[in-house]
Amino acid sequence: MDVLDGISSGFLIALTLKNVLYCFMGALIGTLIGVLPGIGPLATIAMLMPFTYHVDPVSSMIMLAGIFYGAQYGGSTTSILLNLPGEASSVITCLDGHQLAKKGKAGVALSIAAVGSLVAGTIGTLTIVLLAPVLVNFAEKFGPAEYCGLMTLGLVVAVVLANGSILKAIAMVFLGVLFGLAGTDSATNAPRYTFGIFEMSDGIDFVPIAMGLFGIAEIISNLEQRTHAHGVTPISSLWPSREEIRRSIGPVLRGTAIGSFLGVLPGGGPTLAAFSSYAIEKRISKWPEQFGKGAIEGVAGPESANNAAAQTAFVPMLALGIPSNAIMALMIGAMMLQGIQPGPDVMAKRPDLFWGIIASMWVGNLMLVVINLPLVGLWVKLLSVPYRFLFPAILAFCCIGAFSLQSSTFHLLMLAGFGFLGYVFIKLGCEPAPFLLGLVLGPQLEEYFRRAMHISRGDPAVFVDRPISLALFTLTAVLLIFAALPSIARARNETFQEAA
Amino acid sequence: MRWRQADLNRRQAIGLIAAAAVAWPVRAHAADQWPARTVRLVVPALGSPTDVHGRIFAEMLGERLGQRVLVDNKPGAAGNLGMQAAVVAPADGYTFVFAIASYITTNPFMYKKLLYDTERDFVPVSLLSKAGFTFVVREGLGIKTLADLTAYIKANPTKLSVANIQPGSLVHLAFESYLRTFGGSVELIPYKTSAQVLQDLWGGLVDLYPGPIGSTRQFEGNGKARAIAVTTIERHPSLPEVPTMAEQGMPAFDFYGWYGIFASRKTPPAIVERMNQEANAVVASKEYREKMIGLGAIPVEPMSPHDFKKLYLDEMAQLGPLIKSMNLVIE
Repeated sequence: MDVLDGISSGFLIALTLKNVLYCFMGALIGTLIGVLPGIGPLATIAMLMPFTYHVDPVSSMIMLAGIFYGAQYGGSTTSILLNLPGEASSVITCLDGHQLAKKGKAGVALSIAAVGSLVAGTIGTLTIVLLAPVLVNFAEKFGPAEYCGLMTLGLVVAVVLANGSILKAIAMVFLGVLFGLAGTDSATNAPRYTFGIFEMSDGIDFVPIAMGLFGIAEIISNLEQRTHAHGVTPISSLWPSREEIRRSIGPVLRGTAIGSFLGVLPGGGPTLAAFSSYAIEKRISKWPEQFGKGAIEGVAGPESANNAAAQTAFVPMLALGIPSNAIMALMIGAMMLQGIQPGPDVMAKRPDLFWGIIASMWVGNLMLVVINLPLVGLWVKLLSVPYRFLFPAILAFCCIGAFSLQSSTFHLLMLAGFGFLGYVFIKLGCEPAPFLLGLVLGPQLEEYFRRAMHISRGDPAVFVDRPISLALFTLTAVLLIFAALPSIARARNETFQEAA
Repeated sequence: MRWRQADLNRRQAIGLIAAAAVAWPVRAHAADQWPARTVRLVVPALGSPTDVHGRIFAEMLGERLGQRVLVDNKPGAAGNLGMQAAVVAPADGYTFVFAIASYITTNPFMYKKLLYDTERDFVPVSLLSKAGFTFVVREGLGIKTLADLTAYIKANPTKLSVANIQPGSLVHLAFESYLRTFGGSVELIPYKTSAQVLQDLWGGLVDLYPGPIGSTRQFEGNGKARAIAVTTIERHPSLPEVPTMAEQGMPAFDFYGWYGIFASRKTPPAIVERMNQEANAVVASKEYREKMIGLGAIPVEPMSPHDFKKLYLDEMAQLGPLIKSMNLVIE
């Protein structure tokens, strides 16, 4: 069988000593930059690229890929420990991950995230091997109308996943969309909401917003409450109990399925996957009231989803030459420099590259667990550092991270501004998660909506004529009706007030 | 203290001469010994092919100079932030900026407000490479040549959906000049990345993609789209079978972007001269030329700063009126 031959030859390539070393290096670098807020995989891969063209193409791609999924991994560490999301896809991990840490279960959250990611990585790799052609076909059916439906669904999901008042959640989504619209209009090049500030002409950077709203706001709030141990109780357990493992199995598997699917779609894959997984887990959970207060499902699901999505994001790149995000675009650049033209024929022309990278992803995921599990104890010890020493260090890290984006003080001001805004949100009882989802999805919704309408020359029927688009909008409508039905809404509020 | 010529006593005069004598060799020395430390190359991009190109060049230049060439990524605001960073840096010959053509040739016409002025703030150093564009059309329209495309647009005004990534980009201008030769009209569909375009091109949602050679070559593999023309005067080595616009009845049609380095206007001329020689040595090297072809760019013959300036002034004379007539000016 072709696929079996392919993947076994892939493992022969990925398991040579040299490639195992490159894979390890990539995973390690990825973990490190994932833990450091601000310094993302994009900048790291760009910086390392000139060094990689002295290495053979397969090894260099294995290492660069390792940096990408390693960073997804490392990102969850700071989300859980310090409420500091380094990337859009780990925002959701903050919600329950950090609550678990506050309950002394940081170790549990970290190890569930690690193991969940490994399971997701394994299944994600398997999905690529078995379903790559199917996934590619499906992704090709996704035009602007379908993306528009998907983004709308995502925004409605953001409201559903909110913990408190539904009205506040809607307000936060809209506020996020408004912030997201700042930048340059794609059809006319006209600046919008930039106040003549050149730094704003490409929109507001996600990193200072996420660090400000979560990390900085949390510090202000902690200092105000004068909780010297910042509410983190002594570590009760480092490893998950049998009960916690049992509760995580379902979310991990569902998260993996969602992630594998959404990762293939260009744009927002891992982020949308993590948010969707969280929403679904909360919807079907027997204990929805625990979400936002330290539900292990809220870590297991999204962490698996974003890792699975990070794996399948390679599918369009390897199988079609279409990059699903900026990092994949950079990797295409790396391949071109090596004299490989990415495109639909790369699988036939360079099977060693295609299968070698896929096999290396599984090897890399295993390494990530090997790197990360022993570190869990170390990370958790970090929390026993008195808060008066810890918080200046977190602040310094945030500032370094924000500054390193463009070595510009502008991002420090943004960090401070959004830190304050986050504090206001806490005071008003508004959640930052729907805000961030609005911020990420809003501009994409606008982009795809306008593109769909342009292509149809202004005929809105395009959204119902295409079957996938119709299905997505129908699903959105159903969700909205459920949320709006008074009886259900009341039941929903009761559930949450009980918990509160 | 007031200073008058007559107040110069003999001791002071000797002192001044001595100081000048010391200072003179030091100044000459500064150019001789350049570079005595790390050279900074501002790249107004991050994680894009332009960034990769800048880093390749920086590494090869560093090997020649015997000093590290540090890439400083300053992306954003259509190159404004990077160009500004190079303007405010000390003009000591240790900061250069890696510019793409649009910063120099189109930005001044498109934006009422810019953070830099090429003539006032910069001197050209070296042209590094050019990059051409292709017109890629989806299969199924029956368009195989430029003549087919022209006939189709003439027969079906505004029917063709054309993907446009950035209004006023050089490739947009190239396509517009083509349209103007026969007064054709099409629907421009705004896109953000070439990945989105390729997906919709294959899905049959958009008909034509005028894009950079480096990001359109993927169409080759699955037979769902084809390149009908390249916009440069010569064919590109990576697409040897695709004819030029000029070959298809549009004589002298030659649109391309380029990469070049600039220095602050006040940089010592000796250093600009030396940098030009070193950069040109990189440009002429086989390794660099091969890498450029790999990225979809076009290697160029080394050029003096003077010729480089003439090249972009000529382009500006051509592009300025075109941009103004297209209503692309941003307040």
